[in-house]
Amino acid sequence: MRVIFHVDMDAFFASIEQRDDPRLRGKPVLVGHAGKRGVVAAASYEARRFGCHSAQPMAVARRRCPQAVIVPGRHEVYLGVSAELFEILEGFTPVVEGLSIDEAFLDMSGTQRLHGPPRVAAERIRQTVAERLRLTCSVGIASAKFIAKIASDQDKPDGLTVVEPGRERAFLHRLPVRELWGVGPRTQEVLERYGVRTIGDIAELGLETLERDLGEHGRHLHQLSVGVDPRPVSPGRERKQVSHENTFGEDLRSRPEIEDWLLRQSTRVADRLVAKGLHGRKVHLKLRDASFTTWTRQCSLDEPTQEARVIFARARALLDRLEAEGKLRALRIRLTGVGVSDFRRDAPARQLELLPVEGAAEPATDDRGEAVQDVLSEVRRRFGGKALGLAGVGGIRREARDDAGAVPDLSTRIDDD
Amino acid sequence: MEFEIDQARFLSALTLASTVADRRSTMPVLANVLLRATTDDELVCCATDMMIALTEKVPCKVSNPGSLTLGVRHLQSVVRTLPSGALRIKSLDNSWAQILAKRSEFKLMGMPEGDFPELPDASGESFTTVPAHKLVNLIEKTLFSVSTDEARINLNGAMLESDGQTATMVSTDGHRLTKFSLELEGLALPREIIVPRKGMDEIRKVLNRVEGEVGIAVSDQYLFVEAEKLTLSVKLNNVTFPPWKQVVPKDFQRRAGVERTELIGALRQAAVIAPEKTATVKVQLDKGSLRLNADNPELGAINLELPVDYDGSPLTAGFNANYLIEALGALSADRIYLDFQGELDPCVLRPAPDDEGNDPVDFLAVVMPMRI
Repeated sequence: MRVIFHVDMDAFFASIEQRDDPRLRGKPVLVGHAGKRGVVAAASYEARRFGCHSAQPMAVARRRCPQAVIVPGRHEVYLGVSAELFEILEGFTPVVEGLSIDEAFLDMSGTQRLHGPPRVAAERIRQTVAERLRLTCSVGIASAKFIAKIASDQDKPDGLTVVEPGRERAFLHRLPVRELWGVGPRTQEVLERYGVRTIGDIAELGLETLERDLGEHGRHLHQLSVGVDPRPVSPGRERKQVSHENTFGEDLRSRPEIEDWLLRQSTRVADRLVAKGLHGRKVHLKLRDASFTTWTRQCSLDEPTQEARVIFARARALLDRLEAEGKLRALRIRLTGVGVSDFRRDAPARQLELLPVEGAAEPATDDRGEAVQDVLSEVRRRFGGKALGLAGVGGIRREARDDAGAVPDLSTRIDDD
Repeated sequence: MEFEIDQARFLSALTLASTVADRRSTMPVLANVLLRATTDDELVCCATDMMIALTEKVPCKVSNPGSLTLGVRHLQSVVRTLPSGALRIKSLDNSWAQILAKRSEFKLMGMPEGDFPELPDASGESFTTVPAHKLVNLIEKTLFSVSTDEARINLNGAMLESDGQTATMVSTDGHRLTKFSLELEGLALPREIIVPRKGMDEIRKVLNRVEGEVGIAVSDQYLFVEAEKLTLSVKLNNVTFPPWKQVVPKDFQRRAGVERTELIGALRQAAVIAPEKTATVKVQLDKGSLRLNADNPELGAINLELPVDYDGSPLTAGFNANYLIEALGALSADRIYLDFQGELDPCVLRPAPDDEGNDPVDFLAVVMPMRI
């Protein structure tokens, strides 16, 4: 029987802000950009009481809780705290799987002699976190990852929930289906047709019906509903995607504007890939228009890349595709994002180009692209994001626009998973 | 509309039409084949995906001329199951069609002809007659290295130029390039044209059914191919092909002569072990020997050695094994040359003269190495 912990920090960003600024303690705090299009990155528990939560548009959160204090995020600080958190967790077991910046799975099987029974070990973790980080966390303990994750959520904040072996089904039985990993609105709708509301209902509905209506996914859900989840805790933080997106104060109204942002975002993504030594084989493009319709498109590359130029070329090709599909007709874009996924850790052998990507005549027989990328990334790392970059596109001069402040970027989301 | 047609002939026409029709289009009618029964006792079958259009005339007995479009995939499935011999097709009200065979009666829902797009008109074009097999040859030798990368539209087709004496077809995907020329009298194209990949494939399929000669015409937008009862039009890619001559090395520093089939066999062995995505193999040339080596941390390793004619300085270069295999597959000579400059420069594969010293065909494949 495995012993799996899910450790989840409580209102991570907001709690850090309250820790560092005593004036914020006990008050509703929203982390995020204050502009009309900002998005809540975190809400303190005081703010949650008013119905605020992360990923909510800032405007909605402010309406629900006008007295909330809004603080801009300090990503660098959060990353530092996160690193400390993982250091603490790794002191308890080497098998730590980071799930995001502030939560992790720990496989604590076979550590009884060392740390005592699970409950005791969990309290020690919580105590260490409280002492070293002056922050609280909640822990769920169970025999499977997804149950531990649900459990940690049961007694938040500053809680500990243990699902004893053999009690898994009883624990899951009454919970609503959306608590299960992988049940989104679509699946919920399908289940609703059968009157399925709780995880217990799923178990009773039976494998056959689930498989018929939801295929492989249905089988998976059935397994989960009876408490079976053999997925191991895999150490190391598996990054699935590196992406960068911005929501704009004013909609982008022209193709060159959009491309200019895609170029910036491609550059940021490339910098992070270089920093992490990753090469990705998939490029993702995300656009959201004024009506909140979101389109995502992706394409595969023949060769893994970490180069801004290549990422941008693909993002632009994906933009072409959306345009050809008529999606850009209204041309009021409120969000753009570029991402790279499908990573190969340092591509060992690289196919050289006979023709450069842009189709020019000169054969590229060296690593110029990669070398340029390395230098650009290093300069930006040392001197800041705007120190040196690729020239813009479509004749928009960046300085001119920054001066005019026509298109301020209101919320930036950086994703490493 | 009502006509009687031979099952096998009809099936053959539908099979070809179904390779053109587009089931995934936003225009549902493109998944259909247009059937037009004429007073000349002919059934005209048309299919298009808006890029390629195919028209085939099949003899039949028309008792009532008219037209209708039907989903080609289902019609083909129906006709395939019917017994050989004559079958009768009749249009009913509201674009329904009735198909009568010996014992069965099918009803299929169609769409009126009016919904079907108008196909490019070849009637005003002047056709040049060329041997079908030569056209097939040009396509087959270059199709494999056309880019499938949608982001590189100017490489999604092969370049064809023809001056009335010699025709040349070139394709590249940015990592490799293939060029093939042959004598083709009479066909003088006013400019080079870019034939898209799917069009090349379709022309090849059509011409493989044809013996002897076919007609070719090029308009501003289309390439037309006319063979017996078939007319094919392919919308040309309106892009500029890269200046390919500049990336073909003019000379070489090292030349190795190899038995072609031996090298293919060796590369296939290495490719089994090589990492699937990159298919990286290491080629080491030394006096009289070519060594191949592939390493896959997840699988294992392979080493093998071939005798070659080589007396240059030692050279080690990495390649995508599949690029070499495909290039060698397009060659027909028994012996070939591998021409190298440096380890990171493009390698050129060409046929060597045969034992009697006859000049080989005018083919070359340029393959860019990998950095290993």
